[in-house]
Amino acid sequence: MTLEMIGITVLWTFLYGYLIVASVDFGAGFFSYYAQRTGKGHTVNRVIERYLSPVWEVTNVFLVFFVVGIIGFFPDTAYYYGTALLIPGSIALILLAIRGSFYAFSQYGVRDNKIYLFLYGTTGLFIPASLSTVLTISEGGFIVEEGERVTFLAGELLTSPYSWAVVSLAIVSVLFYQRQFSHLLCQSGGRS
Amino acid sequence: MEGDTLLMSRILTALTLGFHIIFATLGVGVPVMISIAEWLGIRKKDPHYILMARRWTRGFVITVAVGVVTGTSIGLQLSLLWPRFMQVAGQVISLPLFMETFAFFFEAIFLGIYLYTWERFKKPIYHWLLSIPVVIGSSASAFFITVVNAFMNTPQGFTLENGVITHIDPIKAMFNPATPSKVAHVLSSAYLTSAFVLAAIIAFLILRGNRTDYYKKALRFTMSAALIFSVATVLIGDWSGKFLAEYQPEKLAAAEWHFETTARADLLIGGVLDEETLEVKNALRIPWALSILAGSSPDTEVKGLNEFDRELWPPLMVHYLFDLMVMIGMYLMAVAILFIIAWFWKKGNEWNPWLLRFIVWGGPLAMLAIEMGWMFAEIGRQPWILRGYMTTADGVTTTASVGEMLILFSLLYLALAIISTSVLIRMFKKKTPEAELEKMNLPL
Repeated sequence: MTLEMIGITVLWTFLYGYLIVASVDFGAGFFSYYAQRTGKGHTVNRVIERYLSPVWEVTNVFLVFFVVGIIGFFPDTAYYYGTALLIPGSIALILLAIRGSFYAFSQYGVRDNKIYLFLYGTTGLFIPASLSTVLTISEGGFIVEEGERVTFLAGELLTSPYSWAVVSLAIVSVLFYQRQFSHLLCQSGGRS
Repeated sequence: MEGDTLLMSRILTALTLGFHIIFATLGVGVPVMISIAEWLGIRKKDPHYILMARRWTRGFVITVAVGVVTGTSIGLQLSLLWPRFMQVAGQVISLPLFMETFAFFFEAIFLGIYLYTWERFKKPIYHWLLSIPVVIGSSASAFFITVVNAFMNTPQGFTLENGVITHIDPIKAMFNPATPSKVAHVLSSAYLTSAFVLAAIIAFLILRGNRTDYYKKALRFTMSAALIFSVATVLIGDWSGKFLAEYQPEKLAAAEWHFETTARADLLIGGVLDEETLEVKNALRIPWALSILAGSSPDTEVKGLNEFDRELWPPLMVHYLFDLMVMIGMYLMAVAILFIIAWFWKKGNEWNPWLLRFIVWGGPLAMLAIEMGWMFAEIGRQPWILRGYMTTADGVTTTASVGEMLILFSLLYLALAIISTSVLIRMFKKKTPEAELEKMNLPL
């Protein structure tokens, strides 16, 4: 196997690991907030909280593994993405920071604070939205290279219907996938 | 425009690192204090120490969370703001970067278990054993990330030909000349700062009138640790000076405004420099001390800045950062020694309000020294991002919107600073040690 093959295999493993754990986690945050607002599904959310919430630190780890991996194996792509993704990347980082810290504040610090839960819950939907734009960008057409200068065409991305389709697919699938997962979890929990 | 992007990128990186380092330092040092406190509690069969460990752990998870999210930020910002640097250096340092994340992963898993298993074991020592991987994981994270910084200062383990990197030896890159002294200095100063921050909080509460045994034991314990770590930090700091003299002489020379290569060089404290004539006014000069710092003997020749091209000089303001860091280090050691003397000397009074006030100031000052030390390390490396290979200006992104991102991240860090502090204060005010001891039917 060539180094590139090994590299891309490792990267896809990290990416899939991140996608699976993070989708469940992001969805869990949203439903936890939803349940708190509407008073519905409290038992389900207890289960979610107990089994899923501690994974948030792990989800961050997978993301960093992926980024470090792409730098190590494909330094040139790291250069193009690094230049092009400053805005979407920074926004995703800020959302991840808000989500992670407010989860800890409400879980270990001040319990059942509505604002903290709101931030934890809603950022879970915006993170997949902002990260999924990377997929659209990787399809090409949004980065221009003029000599030494790499430019990211933010306007093109924001007006592209394809980009918005990917974003909405990301949000819907996170919610769907999470519900399926907690459904399975409750079923197996009910039996034992 | 180009210059703006460079300046904004440097400010944003400095802001993220400066904010992250507060939580990272506590994240490395506090587990050590928790682990020792729990062990003392088990050995002495004293529930007060166990309570200290439990309370510190509760605060620790909050600081860890902020440390994790800001650490993720800096990890990704390296690529977002310095893509050309990462393109060149990334392949060489991806191993320590990966290991750093892995070490954190290891720590996070055991911290989770540690948190939820108090009093779940028949033998309390088993619970204490769980604190060991947390200590190892957090200190290993510090080790690996410091290795990356050491590599930026004294890069080795690769060949650069026409902008392409070949012959990569990641192990040689990791164990570069800067690694031993830098890692030791980062670890010992993190332990020292954490001990002092905890001691400062306790001293503050004692000054407020809490005088039960719990506080007294906690202060004695944290100040004893502070004494050991401060002596270690001062010794290792001296070693770092010797490293600089040998491998990065321009950094030491800039820190000391040392222009002519001489033996018996003076150490300068404070003063004002005329950047045109390079004359120093009003500085306190300690004869021969710079030569002794550089090589343990007054006859050591210390390289001056005049041996380097002027455009390769680090900014000369680093002198003040260096001075402040060293002076605070000395202050912390002096306060720790004073406390221990007052404790063991029969006529001494370790609860003297002035002594307690010195300890309270020591907490924020220790954190300030960490900030000064890192600023000195980073600004003192300029104009290089990868010393000898790439300048900071060559590593920066070509994207124009760094300024807007700087505003967003500033707001984020401001909010996190305010909210995490208020959450911590509320947590500990709601549950005082007295209330917890009473609940467990234990003496105060």
